[in-house]
Amino acid sequence: MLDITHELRKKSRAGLDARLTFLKGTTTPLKKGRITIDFERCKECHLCVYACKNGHIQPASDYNSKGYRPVVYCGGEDCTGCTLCAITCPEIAIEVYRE
Amino acid sequence: MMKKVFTRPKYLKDSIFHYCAGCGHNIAHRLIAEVIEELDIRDRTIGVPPAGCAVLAYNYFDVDMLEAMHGRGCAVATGIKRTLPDRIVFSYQGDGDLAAIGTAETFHAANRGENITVFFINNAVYGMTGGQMAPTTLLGQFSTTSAPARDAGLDGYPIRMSEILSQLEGTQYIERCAVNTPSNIVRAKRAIKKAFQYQMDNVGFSMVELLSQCPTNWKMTPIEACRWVDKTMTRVFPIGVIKDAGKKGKGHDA
Amino acid sequence: MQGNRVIGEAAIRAGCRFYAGYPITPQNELTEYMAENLRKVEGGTFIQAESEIAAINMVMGASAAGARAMTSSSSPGISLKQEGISALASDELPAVIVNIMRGGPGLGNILPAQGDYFQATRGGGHGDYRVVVLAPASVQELADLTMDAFDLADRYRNPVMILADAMIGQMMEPLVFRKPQPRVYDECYILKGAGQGRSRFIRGLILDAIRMEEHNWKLYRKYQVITKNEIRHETFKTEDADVLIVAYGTAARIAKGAIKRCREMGIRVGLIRPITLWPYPAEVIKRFSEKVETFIVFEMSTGQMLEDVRLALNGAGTVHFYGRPGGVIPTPVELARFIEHHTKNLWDRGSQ
Repeated sequence: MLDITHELRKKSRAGLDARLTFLKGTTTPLKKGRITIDFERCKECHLCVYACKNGHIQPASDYNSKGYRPVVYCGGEDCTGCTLCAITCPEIAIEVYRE
Repeated sequence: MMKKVFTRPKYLKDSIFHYCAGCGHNIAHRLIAEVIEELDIRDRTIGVPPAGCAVLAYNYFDVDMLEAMHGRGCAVATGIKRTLPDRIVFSYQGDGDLAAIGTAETFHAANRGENITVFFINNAVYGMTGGQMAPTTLLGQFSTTSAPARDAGLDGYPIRMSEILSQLEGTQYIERCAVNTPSNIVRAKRAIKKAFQYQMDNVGFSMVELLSQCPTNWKMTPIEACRWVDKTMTRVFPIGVIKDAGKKGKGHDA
Repeated sequence: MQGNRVIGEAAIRAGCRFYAGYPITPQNELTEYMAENLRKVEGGTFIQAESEIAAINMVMGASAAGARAMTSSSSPGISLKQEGISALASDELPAVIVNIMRGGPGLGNILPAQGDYFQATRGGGHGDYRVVVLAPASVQELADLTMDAFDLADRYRNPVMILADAMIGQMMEPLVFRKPQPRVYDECYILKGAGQGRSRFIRGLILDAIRMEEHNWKLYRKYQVITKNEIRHETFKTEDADVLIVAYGTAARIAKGAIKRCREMGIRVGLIRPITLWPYPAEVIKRFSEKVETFIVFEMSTGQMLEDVRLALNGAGTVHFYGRPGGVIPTPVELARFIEHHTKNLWDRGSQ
């Protein structure tokens, strides 16, 4: 279910990118960002998973020492540093960097 | 070059929260700590934690705190504020604390227009004690003391404390927010900042009600709980500014 | 000046700057006096609280913030304050609580009684704590003990209770206010914002059992120190007494009248008047039991201090009890008759 939604989102994002590329020079490109997720603090509430509009955060396959299965960032270079995931994380496990 | 745009607030101690995964308390704590840092009032802030899940709030907030017995937060805050009027005093209470056992203290502190800020964390149940019915439990909602669902005839109706207190002339600013989605969280932070600013400007009694998800006692996953706040809770407790008397109000002489 | 108002004036002179109270007869004059006068003093705050419970919690906040804080009530209202008093004792915060006793239990009546002895000395609230209890017997003593109460509260960081009754609260007598001592209270105990340093918190919740136990023993050691240093009592005509009355407060004053009558009849009777009800002058009573055989405990209740006297004597001597509960004010005559009745045997045996 999750993957289908994100496929749709990816398609619409691709369309958006295409339009942006066409309008290059007249619009500002999105900034580059980076996040770090504290593996030990995460309690797998998944609020960040749904907060990220692009689905860049997914559950990991490992467990942390508390027995939770935390989330990890898997969006490659596409993070914009919008901080929506960090704002909604109850454990303050996410730190965000932006250029 | 990347610079850090989001990190743990300075005045939240570096301990791991004991709250459940997805709990609204964590987010509320962080927002309050962020605002205290931004307004630079940590040196003169005194907080009053409740009896409830947040009883250990002093393990997180790096400000002076005085524990109050269950429900008495507003009375204790009154005592502190009247003795040290130039300090920023806030009371952080749950729904049972503020609207059941502490109704009289809350009501009268608001009525006297005490220049304090009250944070009302509304999760529609008694959290720490295991999910019993609270004054704010919705009709039809399950709780361990109103099983299978809250029935108006037996258990009465949910109380909208924000609306009730807004009727009192002593209250100056009351807003209800939620912490279940990023946009609500951003709005909540603005409300918290406004409330503290009003206290700094001696405007009078301010209260921010925060609808908080409680996945454990609602028997839902954190995501379902967040959705439930939007779908069901906001129907009974609508989000928004309930009263804002702004600068027209006057607090007690400092 | 009236007893209730004297408490207010003595408190203000001693530096009380926060008072929260609720109207309840027979102490309303005190609340009104504070309303009228405390606001006139620099930094003085008076709040008529919405309930007794709110009042004691306001006192807790004010005390933690560094003010000399006081609340007052009468028997049913003091029952309401018990949770707050327990919290004050656990948090080691100073406060003065005034109980102008009235008839009870329940709603009772508004006449003087001494039915709150257990409530005051045996805790009243939950947990292993004690409250220093001072029992004045005259308006002058009321003034002195009120000032002492604030000093004791600060010195030991404990709530202190003034246990008077409606008679003392309502009666008018001449008195002299003494000069109060300056306040001695370390700044480090006051919660006033973290400033540039570390934040502090004051709490009673200690989830770990061993640490809770330590806390309880720490309070216990403090109470031992208080017991060693702060016991007060008065003796009246005890040098040659065959019979001793043990009474406090208004009962002690009535007893003095009875003693005068008995002495005229030839009965050698004396009075031990405890002034601190906690800590109790048990050793004093025990020492008298070496010379005196008969003790009469006289209270305006069904017998509460009686138990402390029995504990102190530990089987020595004989203990009789005369009590009038419910707000009845006993007369010296009836007490004298009771004393006479219980010393008849002594008299008949022809004691010199």
